[in-house]
Amino acid sequence: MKSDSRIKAIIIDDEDLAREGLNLMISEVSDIEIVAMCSNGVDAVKTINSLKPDVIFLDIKMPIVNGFDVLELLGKEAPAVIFVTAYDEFAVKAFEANALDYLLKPVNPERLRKSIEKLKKHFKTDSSAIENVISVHKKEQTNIERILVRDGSTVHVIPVEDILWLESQDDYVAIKTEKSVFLKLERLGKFEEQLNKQKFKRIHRSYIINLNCLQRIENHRFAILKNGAKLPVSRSGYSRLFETNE
Amino acid sequence: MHPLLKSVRHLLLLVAAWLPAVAGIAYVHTFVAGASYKQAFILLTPVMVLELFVFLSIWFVCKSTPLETRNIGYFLLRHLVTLVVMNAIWVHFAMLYSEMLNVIYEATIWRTQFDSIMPVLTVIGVFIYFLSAMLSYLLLALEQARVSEQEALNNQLKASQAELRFLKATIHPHFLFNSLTALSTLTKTSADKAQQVCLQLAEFLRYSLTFSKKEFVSVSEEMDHINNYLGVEKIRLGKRLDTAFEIDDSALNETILSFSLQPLIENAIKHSIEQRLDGGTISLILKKADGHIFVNASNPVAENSQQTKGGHGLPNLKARLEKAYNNDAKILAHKGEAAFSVKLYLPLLNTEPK
Repeated sequence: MKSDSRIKAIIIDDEDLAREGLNLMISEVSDIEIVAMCSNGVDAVKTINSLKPDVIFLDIKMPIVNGFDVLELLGKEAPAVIFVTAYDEFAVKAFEANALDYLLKPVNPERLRKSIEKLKKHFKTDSSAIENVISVHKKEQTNIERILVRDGSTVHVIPVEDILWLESQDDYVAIKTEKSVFLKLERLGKFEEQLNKQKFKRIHRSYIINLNCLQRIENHRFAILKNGAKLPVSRSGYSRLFETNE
Repeated sequence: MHPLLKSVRHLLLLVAAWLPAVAGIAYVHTFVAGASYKQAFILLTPVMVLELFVFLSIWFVCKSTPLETRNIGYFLLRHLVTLVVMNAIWVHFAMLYSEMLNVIYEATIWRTQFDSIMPVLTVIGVFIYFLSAMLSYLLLALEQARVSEQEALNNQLKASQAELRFLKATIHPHFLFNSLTALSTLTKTSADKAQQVCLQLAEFLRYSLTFSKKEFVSVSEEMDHINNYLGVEKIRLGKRLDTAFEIDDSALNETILSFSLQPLIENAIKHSIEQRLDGGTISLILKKADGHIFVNASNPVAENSQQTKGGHGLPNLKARLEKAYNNDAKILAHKGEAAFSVKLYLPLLNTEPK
């Protein structure tokens, strides 16, 4: 806990009155300084990056980029976090299991005060607990529609249909689209689990292709894409291409 | 499965009831055939045990020959044939058994005794058949009554469950808690607005609770409900939620199925407005056209939204429309590049709202 200055916090919620209410309540019960308020996840990642708050009050249900996405995008740079949620049985269970702090909406001032006291004592949100909650949340996701990639303080939302192929590069996965390449710290296997298996096939240890972009297979060993790219196909990848997904 | 064989207790009761019958016929036998009690029991016990099985098997005959029949002749013939065949087999068995006793005891009295008792056995067989048939039909009727009672209860349960599901779906925890959160802020910042929202929320909930009581309402009642709902949602979503309504005034007094419009607006909020960073506009067109009410609700498509022909509350609404309008109502959902729309065609009803 830093004693020299006030704690800096950011409130992230997509509903105006929820933000405003929390802001009022925090100033009533504590000396925490609210340095910014964000109405969506993309904006939040950017603001957290530039303002480096000590703690964020994070709503879960938000459009496009939800609370879990925000934490995942921040990765190791995430500040201490207090979740704020109206109703999400899954989330509440996950928080209880991982001893993370969360507030239920409408927020009770007394409960908020306790939460802030706890924060001042420990001042560290257990990052493994956060990872647990995120991974449980991610496990629930199959046939994802978009991939989120952070690049410094900008967040890119890549619709899966724009992807040509994904390529594993050391600890990263390169996501190729018509216009550019995005790098994400993730295993290729994870994408294989999450992407729709009817549309994306793992043709090789290091490659997953979008079947819509496939032009032809050359002598069982190369996949030729519509944009002319030539990617290797392994033996098991070849059989995966022709198996049906029942 | 025979009802009397379902439990050991029933079976024991049956056997206990059978013992006096065996004793009775043995007693008669001592008179008719001039036999000793010992001889009577040796001859008749196995015969009566077999008759017990006959008694039980008649239930299956009754089960396959229902009492509620148009064709009395066929019904009687079936039973008559069964009776004759069963009785003949049984008496025959008794005869063969008496012959066997002759061989075992190296005496001829057993067959003679059988010959004397045979008419009595035949009469008993007929009597037992009647008794068993009566008992079987009684048991079957009881069973039938129990099954229909069970069905009635099940239907009641299903109806209540459907109602509960609907109410739960109407009053989403998510909607409720988020509204209360917004309200909680308003009590600090704007008392007048807070009061207005409280009243609208109360009206919304009140109407939702009438769901099971009023199947049909006027268009204007349903529109009031929608406006209360939107009043609460606008507080919560602020600038993100915009609406464009075109309501034909002449349709306001027409009667429609309650909760046939509000779910369309709710879907639009849940699957489009809430999912979009900058929200959007929900448009609702309602007009009277040759013999029906035409409704079109549309909203911008949200990226990666689940709003499709199969998803969310539409199937539920469709089922309710079919039931209420005897399949005369139509509901069409269409997802385009930029907009999602639902069209309703509801037949005009010439009744006053109940």
